[in-house]
Amino acid sequence: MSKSNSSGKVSGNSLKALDKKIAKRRQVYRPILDNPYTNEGKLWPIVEDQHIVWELLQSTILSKCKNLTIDDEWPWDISYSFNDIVSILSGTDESNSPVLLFVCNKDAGVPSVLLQQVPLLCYTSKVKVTLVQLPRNSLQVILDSLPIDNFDGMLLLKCNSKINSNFTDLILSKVAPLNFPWLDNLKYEPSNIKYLNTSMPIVSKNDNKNKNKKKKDEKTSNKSN
Amino acid sequence: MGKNQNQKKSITKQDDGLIRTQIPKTINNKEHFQRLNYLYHLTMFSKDENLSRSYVNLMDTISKKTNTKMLPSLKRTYCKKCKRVIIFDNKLSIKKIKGIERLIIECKCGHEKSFPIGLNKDYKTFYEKEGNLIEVSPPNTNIPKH
Repeated sequence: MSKSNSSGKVSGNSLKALDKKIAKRRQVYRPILDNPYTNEGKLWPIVEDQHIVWELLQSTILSKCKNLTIDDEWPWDISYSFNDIVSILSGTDESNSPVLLFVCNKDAGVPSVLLQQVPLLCYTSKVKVTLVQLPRNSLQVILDSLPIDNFDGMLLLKCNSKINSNFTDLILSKVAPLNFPWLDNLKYEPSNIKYLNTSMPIVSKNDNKNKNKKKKDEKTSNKSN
Repeated sequence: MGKNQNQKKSITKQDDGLIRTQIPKTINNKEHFQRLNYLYHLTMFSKDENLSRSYVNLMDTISKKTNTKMLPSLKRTYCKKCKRVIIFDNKLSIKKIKGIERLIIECKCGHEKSFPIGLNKDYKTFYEKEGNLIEVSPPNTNIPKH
């Protein structure tokens, strides 16, 4: 008879225990090439005193958003939809004022594929972007305070006259700038095509060949006659 | 004899029907990986777009012929159709297709990469899961100065 331990392991000579003893698979280590241009440590800019930045955001922006609805006129220019954020960052929006982008990159519930695009998108943007990573469990707090159902884990705030300058200055002083040294050289330059001034013969080689052939034919015909 | 002894040494323990082995110290066919890595560097730093595309094409064919694998994070940086590096020319958007939210990355050539993020927001690839990728050796930071 087999006996099961408190940990759930089966001991003894039961069929299950014997079956576990017979090896069915072998552990293998396969080599795989990683992207040389991914420095996980520097991909997201470091935020000094993150709890201060988070509290400041909560007190100045999020606490006031609780009383608002989507139809109301918002006191600041806030975007929380991914498509809107991309359109602002790609410069299709008319006003090119600097922006603050708060991202909940440490929370579960934000797709990793989406997060992978964000630092590069900010770096290549025409607009001046300050990327601020938020602490863990900030996603739920933002969801509770904003009157929206679908949130992609990103909150964009335009730094214009509507927002207090002290708030933006303090956040800008706490966040390190984005740094991707390998991308500086990546911008393609237009192909440099020039004209070379030379000359070429008017009579082509093929014409000469044909002339020679004709001469030869004439000679052979004369000889035969 | 020696080969069998080495095999015995590498096999450490067996549990749950899985024979566990030690991490190998050397990498087989390292040259191919180095070649791919070098080509990827060239694609990134060549200013001519056509040349860059040809390097990516070469990289892709080499990896297929030599059966050397590349991580999805690397493969996602170029378009599979036109072999362009899609960092600057991409268009990002979230669209709802057949009721599922999809992240769509569109290349300059018009080819679209689609990721169904609406199905499972916590989804991670096998390579992104903890413990599956093992660092062989730390990258050499001491580059000799010429």
